[in-house]
Amino acid sequence: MRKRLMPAVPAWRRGHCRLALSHGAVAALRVDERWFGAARKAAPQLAQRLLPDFATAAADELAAHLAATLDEVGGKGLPVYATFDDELVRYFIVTPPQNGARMQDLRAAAGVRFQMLYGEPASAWHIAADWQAGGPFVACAIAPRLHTALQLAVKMRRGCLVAVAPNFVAAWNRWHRRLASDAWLATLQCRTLTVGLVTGTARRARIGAVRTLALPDERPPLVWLREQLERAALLDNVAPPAVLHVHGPQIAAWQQAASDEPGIAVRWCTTGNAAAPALALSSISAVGTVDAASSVGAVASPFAQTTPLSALAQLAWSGAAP
Amino acid sequence: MKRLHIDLAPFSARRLLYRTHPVVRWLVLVALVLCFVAGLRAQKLLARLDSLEREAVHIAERTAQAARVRVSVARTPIDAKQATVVNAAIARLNLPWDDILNALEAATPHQVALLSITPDASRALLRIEAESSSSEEMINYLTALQQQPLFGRVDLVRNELAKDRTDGVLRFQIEAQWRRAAP
Repeated sequence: MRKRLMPAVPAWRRGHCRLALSHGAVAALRVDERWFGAARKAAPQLAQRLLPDFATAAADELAAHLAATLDEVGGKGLPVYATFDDELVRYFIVTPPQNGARMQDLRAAAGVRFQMLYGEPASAWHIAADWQAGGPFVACAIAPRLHTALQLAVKMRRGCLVAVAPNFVAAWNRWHRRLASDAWLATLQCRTLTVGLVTGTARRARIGAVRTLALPDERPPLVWLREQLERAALLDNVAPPAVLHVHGPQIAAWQQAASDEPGIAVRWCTTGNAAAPALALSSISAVGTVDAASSVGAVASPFAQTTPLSALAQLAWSGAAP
Repeated sequence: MKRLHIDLAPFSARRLLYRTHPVVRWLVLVALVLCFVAGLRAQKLLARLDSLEREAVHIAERTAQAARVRVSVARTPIDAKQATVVNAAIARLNLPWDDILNALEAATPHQVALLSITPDASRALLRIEAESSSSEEMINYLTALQQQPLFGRVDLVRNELAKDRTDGVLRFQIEAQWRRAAP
């Protein structure tokens, strides 16, 4: 009787899954919470998997891979928080029409703006935005195949998609309270820096543009960063920032010189949850690596316990979360 | 700096549940439990109110029935003979003794001695027997009685001179009709 009843109540398990999707790979992280006392938080389960090319693979195939990844961490029936890598997302700013009265007008304006910027029909993309009728707003477009695959996979595992956000949006929502009006926020992921340019002053400050900078090498010097930021500020006709808050893996060269030199300073947004560094050293039961040599599918293999979290796992950890 | 409201997750009730703060979730649960308790209590009170209302209706019905019974008693026709007999008995019992005696006392002077008074309730008649030393006093007594508001007609029925004593005493009988009080 007990055995028959137990599988029927996975909803009583507390915990959630965090998914991170990037080009050709997915990482899933299961975080368990006990009913009483956060101190007894168990070590998260991690699984990573290579994905077929998004451009050619069907949504069903992608969904099957995502579902398999969820299975590896035992995320059946759990709420899922998904984060998209910034490379998968196209950010743009939409200015609402003057005579716009309805939501359809805003949608049409976003579609036209997308087509103007990227030269592709907006119908082939899934557009989500922070819809505002009173002023320019941030919009982002994502391949609908990826979006559908994610929904399908979570549905197949009887889970629930609680939050799905691009990395920059998740980071902004996490840190926007701590940003001064002369500070910008950037997310760093795999040699790509996504910078949100802030225009306006004090209370009227808003994101004026979202620019993507490709890092020339693994650790570019601070001078390069300052040049790039000043150039971006000039291009968008905004004042360069005093501080750049970076969300992502730390680069030592940027941090050391930040304190004594004049110019744009760089500060790191360390995740509010202090468990992240400890996580890397704690026992992870199923650690897989995204290895180019390993075939798609069988990736989960027990690894050394001290392996630090991969970039994608970091993204899953620090992205959309409750 | 404002929050960016960008979320690609589809809307669902379960998602809403996960997105609410645990404190809010507990508060909602507590509120639901309180609502349930309040509902139970309200139901109990309403049931009590219902029973009280039913009781009130019952009591009202009984009172109405009782009133109807009383009315029906009043409406039953009474036998004419019985009625006269009962009325006579009541009239006999309802002699205005106080008024009669007061009126007599007020009208009787010292010179007249009352021997007897006999009321006849059926005819509202008072038969008075009295003595006086002279006929003048008797006449005065009659007029004094007539002046009393209680008495209507006052007749001298008979008079005789008593001869058993040395000085002649006039013995006389008066019939006085008193006015019945309006029922």
